[in-house]
Amino acid sequence: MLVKKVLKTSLLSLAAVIATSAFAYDVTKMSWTEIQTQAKKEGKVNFAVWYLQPGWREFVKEFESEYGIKVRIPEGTLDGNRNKLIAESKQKQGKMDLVAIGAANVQLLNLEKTLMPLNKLPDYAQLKTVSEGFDSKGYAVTFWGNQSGIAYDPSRIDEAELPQTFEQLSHYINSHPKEFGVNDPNGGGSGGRFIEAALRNFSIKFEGETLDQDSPQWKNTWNWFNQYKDEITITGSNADSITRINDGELVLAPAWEDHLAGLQKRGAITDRLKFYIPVFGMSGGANFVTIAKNAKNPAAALVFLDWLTSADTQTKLNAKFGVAPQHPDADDSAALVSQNMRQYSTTPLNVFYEKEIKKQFVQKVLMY
Amino acid sequence: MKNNNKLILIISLSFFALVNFIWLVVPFFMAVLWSLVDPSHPWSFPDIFPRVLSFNRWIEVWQTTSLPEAMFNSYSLAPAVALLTVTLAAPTAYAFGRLEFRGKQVAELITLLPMVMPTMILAIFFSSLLLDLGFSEPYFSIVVAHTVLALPYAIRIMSAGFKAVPQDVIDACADMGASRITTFRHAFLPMLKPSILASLIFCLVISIEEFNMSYVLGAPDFITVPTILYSFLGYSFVRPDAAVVSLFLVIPNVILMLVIERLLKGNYLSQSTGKA
Repeated sequence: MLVKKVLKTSLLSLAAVIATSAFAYDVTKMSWTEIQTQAKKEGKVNFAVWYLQPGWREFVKEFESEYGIKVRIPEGTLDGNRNKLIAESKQKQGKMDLVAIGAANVQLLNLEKTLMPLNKLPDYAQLKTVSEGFDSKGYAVTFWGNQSGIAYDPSRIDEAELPQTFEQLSHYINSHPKEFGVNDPNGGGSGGRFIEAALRNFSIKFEGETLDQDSPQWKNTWNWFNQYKDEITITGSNADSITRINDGELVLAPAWEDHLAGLQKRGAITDRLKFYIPVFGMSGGANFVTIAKNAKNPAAALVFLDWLTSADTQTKLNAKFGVAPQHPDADDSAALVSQNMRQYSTTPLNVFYEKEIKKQFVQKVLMY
Repeated sequence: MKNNNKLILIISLSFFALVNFIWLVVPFFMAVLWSLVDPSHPWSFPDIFPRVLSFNRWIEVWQTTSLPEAMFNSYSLAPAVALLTVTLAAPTAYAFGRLEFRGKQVAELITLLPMVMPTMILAIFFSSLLLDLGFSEPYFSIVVAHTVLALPYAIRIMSAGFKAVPQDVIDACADMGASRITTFRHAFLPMLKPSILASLIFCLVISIEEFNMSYVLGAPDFITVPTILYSFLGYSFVRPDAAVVSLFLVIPNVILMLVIERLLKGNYLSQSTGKA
């Protein structure tokens, strides 16, 4: 009798599990209302984002209380998350739901086989599927706008004296040796974006010109770095540069706007530090968020993505992390830089330059 | 002459104190200080010391990071690794400690191989091997990998323990008609206790501190304390948070090392045989 009862309960539980499993429904064929109902049944979702995880965990609490869906933000690096997404794509059901990736990463993924199309999102038409020249073809949307520029300590340099051209920067470096820092582009993107600005200034003669790997024009940029190499402080990473400004070793260094704001909000560095986009221009961009095709909680992932990219949430992201909102109806008044200054934001050079800058900086500057 | 000796003693002790101060006290003090910086009063130039100290950062890190999960993973992995390693090491350690056979020295050298191989290289091969065998469960994979890394230590420590058991004690047990189990309990176990405990604690420390294997086999969804510390040193580098996490890693290990120190000091041999 008891055995029968246990068997019956087990079979019923198994049936319930199968009924609610990811294989029992296809979100791409469901209406938005059905997706919302299904999301509540799933009850949880994983969001793999490689930066500021403690801040994200606080930020998603509002979503958790509003929708009753628990959000897990695992630790992990960009490469680690991306590689796991690729490795799991062969399985029927993976462990990843939403994954944040840098714009250039979309070209490393087999979009159709790895990711879920996002055209089910109610606001899909208003969201951006192209970032930094990379087209996600509707499999990823931008959610985190970032801008590179120069972080500085206003207690040690007047705003009027901030270098706006490479001539002014050269003069500043000469008169204030070791107070300007650049991070090795292999340790963080802001150093690479500064080198990119130097390339635009010293090597690329006209907008849209593509430099060959062996083009002699590269040396104009590396000559500038080598000329001031002893007066520039080379740092290890984006965070290292900002930390050294906070500690008083550096006064100016390339940085990301969102990174600086995030560290300030976290109380890791002083609120005194400021950020500007120089007139010579530094590039901006946006990170993508995507959903794994074999997501464990596909409906909850879609509902979370809709919330994350909504105008209201993008306004709050701007206030909390200082990021550039990606929804056209969002308010970006809490950013570190004014709208007027954003006119100096440039489009990033393509991924070929990113790779080449990393390689050549080591060969032509660090080992020179 | 006496004065010279005294001078040498003072110089060597001062040097020892200075080196310890620079290499241990200063970094540890800085980590403690950074961990206590109040989040609403960041420590920056030109302040020589933080303006406000509090435990708010500790509370915040505990509540907003995956540290509790990482600690649970690390401290549930380590005992499993320690027990498995000591169990697997015991027969080999007995053979090395008490038996003579051809090729013993070569065998002893081979058991040390995991110590000389860079762990990142081992981790990459392990990852591929375990995936080929169909094991994708990170807990199991990391237990196996940490056991391989800890085995040489456990075998070395326990074989020294087996070697130290005097033959006359074993013979005395046998003369009195004791069975193999009784002989093990009364002759071997009292003198093996310190080496078993030392091996267990060494394995615990190795597993808790190991990064490469845990990262390659577990990341990003199975995190341990060293892997979370690694993520705090990368893009998400927040110095006060990193200080808190590193102290969470250091404190249990210091306690375990103190226990090892006490265990290794005990002279069980003289206590059990009455011979000094």
